[in-house]
Amino acid sequence: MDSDEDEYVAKNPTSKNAGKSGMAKRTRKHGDDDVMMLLEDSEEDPGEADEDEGEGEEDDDDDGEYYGRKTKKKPGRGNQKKKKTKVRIDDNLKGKDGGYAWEDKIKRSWDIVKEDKDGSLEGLVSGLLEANKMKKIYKNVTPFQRGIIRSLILVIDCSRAMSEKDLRPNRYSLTIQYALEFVTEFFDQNPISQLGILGMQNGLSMVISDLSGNPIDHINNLKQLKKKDPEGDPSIQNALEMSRGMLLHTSPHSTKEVLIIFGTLFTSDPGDIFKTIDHLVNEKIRVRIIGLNAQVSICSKIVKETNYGDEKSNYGVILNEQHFKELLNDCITPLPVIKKLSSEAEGVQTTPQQKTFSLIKMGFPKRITEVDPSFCSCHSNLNYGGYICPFCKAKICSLPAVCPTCNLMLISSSHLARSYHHLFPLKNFEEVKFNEVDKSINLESQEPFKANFQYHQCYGCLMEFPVKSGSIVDPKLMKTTSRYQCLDCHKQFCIDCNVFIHEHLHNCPGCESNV
Amino acid sequence: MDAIADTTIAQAPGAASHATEDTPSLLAVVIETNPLFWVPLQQQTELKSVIESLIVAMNAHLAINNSNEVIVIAAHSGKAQFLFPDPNVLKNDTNPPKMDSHSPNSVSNKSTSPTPDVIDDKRQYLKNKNIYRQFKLMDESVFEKLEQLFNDTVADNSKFKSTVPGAISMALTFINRMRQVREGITMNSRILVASVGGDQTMSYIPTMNSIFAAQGMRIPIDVCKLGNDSTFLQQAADVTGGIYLLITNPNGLIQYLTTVFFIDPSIRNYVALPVNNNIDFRASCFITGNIVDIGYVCSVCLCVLSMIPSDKKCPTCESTFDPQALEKLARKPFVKRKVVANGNSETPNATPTPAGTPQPK
Repeated sequence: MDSDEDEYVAKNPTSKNAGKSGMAKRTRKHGDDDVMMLLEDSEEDPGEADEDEGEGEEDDDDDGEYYGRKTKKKPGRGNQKKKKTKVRIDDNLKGKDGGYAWEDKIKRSWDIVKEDKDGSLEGLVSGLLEANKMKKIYKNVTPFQRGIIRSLILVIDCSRAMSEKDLRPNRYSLTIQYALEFVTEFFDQNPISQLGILGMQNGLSMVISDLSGNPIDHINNLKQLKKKDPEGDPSIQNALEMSRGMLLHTSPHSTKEVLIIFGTLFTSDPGDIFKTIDHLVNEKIRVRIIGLNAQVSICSKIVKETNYGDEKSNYGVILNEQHFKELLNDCITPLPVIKKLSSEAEGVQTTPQQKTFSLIKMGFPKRITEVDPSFCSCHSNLNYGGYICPFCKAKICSLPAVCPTCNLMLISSSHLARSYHHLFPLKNFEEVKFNEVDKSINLESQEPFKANFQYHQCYGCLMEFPVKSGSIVDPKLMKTTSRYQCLDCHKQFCIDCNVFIHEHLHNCPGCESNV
Repeated sequence: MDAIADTTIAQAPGAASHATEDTPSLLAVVIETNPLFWVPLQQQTELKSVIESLIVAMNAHLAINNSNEVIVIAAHSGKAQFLFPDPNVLKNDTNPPKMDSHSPNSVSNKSTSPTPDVIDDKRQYLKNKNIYRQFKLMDESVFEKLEQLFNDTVADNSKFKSTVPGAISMALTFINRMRQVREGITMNSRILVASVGGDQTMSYIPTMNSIFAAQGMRIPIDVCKLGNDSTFLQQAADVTGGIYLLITNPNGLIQYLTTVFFIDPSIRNYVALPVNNNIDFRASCFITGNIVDIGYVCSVCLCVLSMIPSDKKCPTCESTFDPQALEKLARKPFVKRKVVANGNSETPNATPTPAGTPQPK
């Protein structure tokens, strides 16, 4: 049983607290080291251990099998042997030393804190802050063909488990609060896309907000939802089936996506969820899941199958509130179009070449103002001015919209322009090295040296860089120059401008002022 | 002592109206100085008089509230540059950029830039040396930097691209920095663009990106347009909630600047301002360049086309379109023909004779 327990835990390295209770109890002998597996570095969530134990059936595993503790037949000895010979270590489980991640030496977060000569931590702290900010903006900037026109169903878990207070004030409130921000941001970045919202409650799926392109409706509906309390069990199958129904009539050129925020460790389904997965694969609906609790096998299975085997970037389990936010923000960027449809790994029947590329007929209406009010054809409200459909001359009060008379998609050119930065992303800036100007500086030597730089201040905000030219730098304490350089115009920017430029502006001020 | 009392009142919850009045405001001015664009305007006005008017307006902005600030960026040929605050002055300041500094050492810090004596030798920029200190700092810096800029400029006809998008980007990065440095202090910011170039000189995507960034930061972009109308800048003002005004009589520029553009965004709702309702939101075709009313949009790269390309491929991203979908698009409206009982099909353009309302008998 001991090794069974171990294996059960070993399957869950990415989840934040799975099997904690199992691991914390015992010390396992391996190699020369006595490794206390107390998982002390992970985010602790008291009150969840029992739940993990209770829902043992749904663990992650790499073979795609749906087995739990009771089906584990492998003897403990064999398991140990497998590890020693290092037959195959899943990349997800690999640690720094080449073995499993839990065989690595424990790294305490306070080990890296070292004072400099004057006993100050300032340099180190600012370095850590910068590293955090850098992580945020590092993006893959390869221009992909992306499905810019999206239909997304957001599924929110409204079950009992969402009343847990591990997120403040509780999971439910925080999720809705983040969902509200998500809706705003989603339509800001994807103005010609559509969104629908579902809830999972009492084993059923309920429509919170219908599929539409109007953010105000969604926001109002979510605010209504906030007043209700989470209850009952969730059913992923019901939610997915309903999402399928909602996505059935979307235009063929739009992507079909489902995003599930899942706070429970089980799903109570009325039928065979694997059939639902097959349907999803056939209909090319891509499912993303954000887990609030721990990794669940069926979720990773769903994600893997519907995203052509790419589980890693589509199934995330949150570490903390900040990470939750980041995972949600990842879903705002449109997905790259996948041309190759290889599902050979799962043995699912192969689908024909995706035909999502097409031309869409769109109207660019002119805005008018009127002296006398007239009725708009969309809401039958009296108003002064609006937009005139170029095809049928009906008056619409806001854009983007579908003309209620002739069904023509009406947008303005600035709506299209909002999506351009996804298609033509700005290149990442590169950190400037200490030896860039003065080549004689040897960064490996660990000896203090005199820094020498070309620029003294940030090109964007005129702030002076913290490390000055001519100052003595100790490479042990000072890891970064805090200068980031655009590879095209070679202008240098501070970290804050770097973040701002890549997150909001999407323009390099240096390149744009040098045309 | 009075000043302290004033601020306490302003921060009191009951004095909300006071607070809005006293919120300091940052004005970022972008001046397009590319000589090539000023040539067609020779008959109407010249850069010098425009700069003079702008200086007066900026001085007025500084004067209206003690904490108001101004930054000036020149969009020159081939580069955009800060005119004020002077990058060299700031260089030796360990503090974050500070423009309205009353500290006497900010001028003496000019180690790399010419010292005031040198400036005196070179040229007297201001007629009266005893003007209000904040005016003096800004005006001198703007004149000095502009002169440097024009002295360094080499005649180059290839630099016909406008650097206004870059200059707006710089203004935004600077404002972003100010917001981070002064956390807790609310400061309204706005951007005033004095532009002369037309749409064809500006690159579309960078312009749009900076507009949307400004919109996200709630920074209105006011546009004072000389020369011809610019659709891009019209959209910039419209999207961000700024004012767009085409100056037809540049000699009266100072009047426009001190009336229309001088009004703080917080009180714009109460003032009758020129509105611009006929903004062209239509897109132009990527192949022909014509403005389109009803066009076709590639679902992958969102490029706008006025017709279905003959090779069934997107000219920008080269994705091959689904032939079935194209067929559907190309289909002409279908007119159902009526078949009359005697076998002759009715001509499609024949108007049906009204049967007449049945009369009650």
